[in-house]
Amino acid sequence: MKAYLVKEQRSLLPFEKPASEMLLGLSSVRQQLIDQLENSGLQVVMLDFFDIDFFKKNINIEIEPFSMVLFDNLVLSSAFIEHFLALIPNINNNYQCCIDVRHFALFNTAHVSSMRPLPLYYFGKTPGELDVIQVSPPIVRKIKHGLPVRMAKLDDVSIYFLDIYAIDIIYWFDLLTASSLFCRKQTTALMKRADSLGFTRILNYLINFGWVRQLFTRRSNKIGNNCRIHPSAVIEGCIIGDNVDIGPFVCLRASIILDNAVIREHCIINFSYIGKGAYIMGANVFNSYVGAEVSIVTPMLYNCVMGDRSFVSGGSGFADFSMMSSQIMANIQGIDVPSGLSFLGSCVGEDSFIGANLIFIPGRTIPSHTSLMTNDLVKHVPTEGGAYVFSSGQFIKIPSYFL
Amino acid sequence: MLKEQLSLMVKNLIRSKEDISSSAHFKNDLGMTSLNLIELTTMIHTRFGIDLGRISAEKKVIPESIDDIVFLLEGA
Repeated sequence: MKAYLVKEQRSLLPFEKPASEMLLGLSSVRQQLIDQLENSGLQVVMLDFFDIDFFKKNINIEIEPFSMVLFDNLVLSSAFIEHFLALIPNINNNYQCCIDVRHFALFNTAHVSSMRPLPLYYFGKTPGELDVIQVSPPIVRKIKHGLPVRMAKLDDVSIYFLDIYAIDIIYWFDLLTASSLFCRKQTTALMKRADSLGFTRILNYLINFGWVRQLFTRRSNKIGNNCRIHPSAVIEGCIIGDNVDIGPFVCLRASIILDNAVIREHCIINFSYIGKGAYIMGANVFNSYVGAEVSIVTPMLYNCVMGDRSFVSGGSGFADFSMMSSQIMANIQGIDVPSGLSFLGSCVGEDSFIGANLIFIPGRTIPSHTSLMTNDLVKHVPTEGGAYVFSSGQFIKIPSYFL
Repeated sequence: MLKEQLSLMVKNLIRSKEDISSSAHFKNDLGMTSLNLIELTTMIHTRFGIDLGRISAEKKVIPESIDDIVFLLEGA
């Protein structure tokens, strides 16, 4: 069977490249998709353009019968293609995949639910109208997450572990969800293995003993060459690249740390993706995507996306939660986009600098090549790159000659 | 009037005892640092309510001296 991979042309704002070129794991989103398709026995054919309406009207004749068409901004779990193909009821018909994304975000609530259509199609014998195949990913494990009593509206906050998922990256918060699912994958595989052996209860009891914990944690990580890891660091369900430096009392869970990253002492990193050469000092990074060569010197980074080579100074933070709001509206280039997420921080573009003591309200998008250098509550961020300073409640652009 | 106010601002910023010429180059003649110039930008915004960076980008004028800033502010 052939799989036509269509190039997504639009850039993933605020980054200056399409989602398919963003790194996730050791390779880009597109390369991972190609590898997965080839591993599933499909012959990959690249396409520059594809319009589904043309196909419905039988205009596009490039596509062979009994083939798949998918866009290269898709992130799929390794078992997804087989799962989707197995759900096709009649191979002569045409189908579009829709997926239940309710449990995809790390912290999700009962208030957020939707079936999301994916740019993933199966084409049968002849072009024409498409039927929908709804995929509801089975939950491997659900863990309830504690909340303060006054957050009563979000009483059903849980973390879900899934081994079948698919998401197309349209906005930066989709990249956050994709990286979160990608980071949880390792832990999901471990849980599934323990569950299938019937060990879960015994393991939960035995894990209280130091030597069992040591044995278990050692086997639950993939650690690269030439890493310097302090013996007091706790590392569980992580993938760690080469030449990584992990300091004393660091706690890493269900995270991916790529080559040459430096994690200084007392950092806590959970469910996060840390890019190549990132430097993290004294921070608590939770469910975040951190690009390559990013420096973070800030106490908390929850549900955020950091572009490559960006810098966050000490004391700055990104609020990720609005009281009495079921979903956060992400503001991208001045336009509010519903994120469908109850918890969402902000996105910092590439080569950006965030000064000290800035607090951002949830869902802000800071453009690439932007320097924000002051301290106040930030509601409106600039819509174009440049250097800004906060004055009388607003950002004032600094003439480029001044810097 | 505007020129005098700006000259006084710059004089206080760089703690100069001498009066500042309106044609003096901020970096080459007065030795102002980027921090001084950022402060000047915020002072102009606070005093006149003008976003200097945006106006200079719109008018494509590089504010290298007080005269340049006066030109930008008078046109705003």
